[in-house]
Amino acid sequence: MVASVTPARGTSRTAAHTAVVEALPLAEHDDAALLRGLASSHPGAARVVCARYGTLVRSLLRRSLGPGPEIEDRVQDTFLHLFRRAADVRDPGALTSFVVGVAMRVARSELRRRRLRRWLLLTDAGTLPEVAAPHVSPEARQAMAALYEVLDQLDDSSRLAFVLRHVQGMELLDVAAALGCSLATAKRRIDRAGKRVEALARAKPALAPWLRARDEDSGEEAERAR
Amino acid sequence: MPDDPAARLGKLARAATEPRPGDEALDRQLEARLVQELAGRRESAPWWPRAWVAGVGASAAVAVVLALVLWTRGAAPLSWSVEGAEASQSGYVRADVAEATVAFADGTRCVLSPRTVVRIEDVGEHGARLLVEDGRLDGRFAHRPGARWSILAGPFTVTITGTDVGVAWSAVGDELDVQLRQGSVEVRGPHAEAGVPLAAGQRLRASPSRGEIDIRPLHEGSASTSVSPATPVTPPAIPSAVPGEAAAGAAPSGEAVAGPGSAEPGGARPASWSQRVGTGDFAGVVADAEARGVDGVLSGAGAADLAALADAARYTNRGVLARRALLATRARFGGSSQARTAAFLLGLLADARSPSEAASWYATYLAEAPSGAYAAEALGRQMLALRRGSAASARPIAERYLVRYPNGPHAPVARELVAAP
Repeated sequence: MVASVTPARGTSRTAAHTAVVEALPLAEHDDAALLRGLASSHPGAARVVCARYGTLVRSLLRRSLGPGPEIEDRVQDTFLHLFRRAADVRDPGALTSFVVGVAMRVARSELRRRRLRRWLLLTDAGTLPEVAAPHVSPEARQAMAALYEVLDQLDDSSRLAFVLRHVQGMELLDVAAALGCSLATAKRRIDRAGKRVEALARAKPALAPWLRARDEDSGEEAERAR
Repeated sequence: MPDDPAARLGKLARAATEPRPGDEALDRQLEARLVQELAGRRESAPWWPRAWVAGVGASAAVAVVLALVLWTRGAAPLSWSVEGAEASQSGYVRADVAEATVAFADGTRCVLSPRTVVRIEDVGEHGARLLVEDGRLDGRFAHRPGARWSILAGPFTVTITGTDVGVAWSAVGDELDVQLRQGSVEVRGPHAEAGVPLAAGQRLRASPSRGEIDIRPLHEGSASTSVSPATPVTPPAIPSAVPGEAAAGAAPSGEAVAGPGSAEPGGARPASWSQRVGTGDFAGVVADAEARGVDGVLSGAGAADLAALADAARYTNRGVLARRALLATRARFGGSSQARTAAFLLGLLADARSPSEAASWYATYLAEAPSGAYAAEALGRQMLALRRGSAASARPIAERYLVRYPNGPHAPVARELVAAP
């Protein structure tokens, strides 16, 4: 169902709930139509944008911030920012990278807030909540908690560069676009982050199996992660 | 990417944070909240520019301070104030001979009738719990994403989204009275343990000691639905807010069921289900369909109404009803855009339960709408669903995905599948 609620001609704003329904042909349209729908706050656009980008945004935020109860709130924040700024997108073909960029700004803001809260001692030590992932083995869960402790020691730019490249598996150009920097800067950040993560991870026994030289095939490695 | 320690650590995090079956439910909740958010923004849009221009100078400094406080504190509870009565620090508010108003920082305002006693508890970032010890509270609750408000009245709990509702509880008379003018609420309590959804324009009266729950349109004289403790609680008929619409039971067998958008002879055109979904009245649409008789609706309603019912059912976690509505859409309106979209949505519904069925529905959608709005997502989700069976079966789909959507949301997973030995 894709429909728009618009006040009937001659009705007041308070009568908007008894307004007529105006179909918007979003269902067969492209990103440009979707952007128009978002810019005009068309309720039908929400379903399309959720279906297209919900999985991507959630995985980006989970991976950038680590698991936690606030992820869904940040997913929603990302879409609300997207709705607000949809009219600013000039190139509909770049909608995916725009969405990723918005998600990264939301992630960066959340990281800043967490850090400040820790500094001001408004919360506990800021430890990572239990990973709510029943499909993950206890060993991998422990390793992942250790990995996010490592990531917490990076600056935000390095952390996000590491996540986009090594966790999300994005191409270098896409990482640069998402972080709003040049390709050369993105490469430097990724390189610097990788080295720093590796150095810090060596102090974490739970991460030792993932640091050893690779002598197993990827199937076994994936099995270990599960 | 080279296989270095950083890449291996990345794989660890990727495996542990992949989409999970429970994400489908999160998607539905997100979608429902965003539908409401967009509908709310449409209605409030004309207000913002005026307020912005008028208040920008004076508000800027305050906003910066507030933003800093909220930013640093994160889950700062809503501030609130009381006019016309005194409030204790523990949140106890008593309106004596005159009305009192409780105003919250998010714009929510609650008016307490004279001789009403309310406790304000668990005030958080997104709402509070209001305990009506005795008397009447009329609240206009701000329509905000993530809002969490509830009213406790005697043994009853009224769960609220953005809405305009009056709740009265008489401790002496042992009677609850809920009058819903706008939005939707759910009432739980004695004889309504599973929850009774109310739609705009409905009134519920309940007495725990007498074991009665009575639901009727706000305006007296209309048909009512009485629920005895022995019978399962059934949502009532049609909200009286819909002008010209008579309360309807199940449609007679063989008789076409007119959708809510159908013109009423001699009356005003009622709000359609798609319109009501657009304004967030999901529970009301489902209740309406059940009151009319689901079988009759599925066999008689139009394509737009079936699609709206499917949406409302998905947003209220009524998966079985949503599936029936979508299957009915495909059976009765084959070839229509609604039928094509239904294939994609059936895939979403099946995703957590049966990956193979989900993959099949995605394939159906792609065959019928290769350039449709959900084509990229259907192809990506088909790939993910097949991968849960075997990576080999997903690889051809991954290759196709990368050709069509090299920068799409599922491209990283597709690349991984293609690169795997």
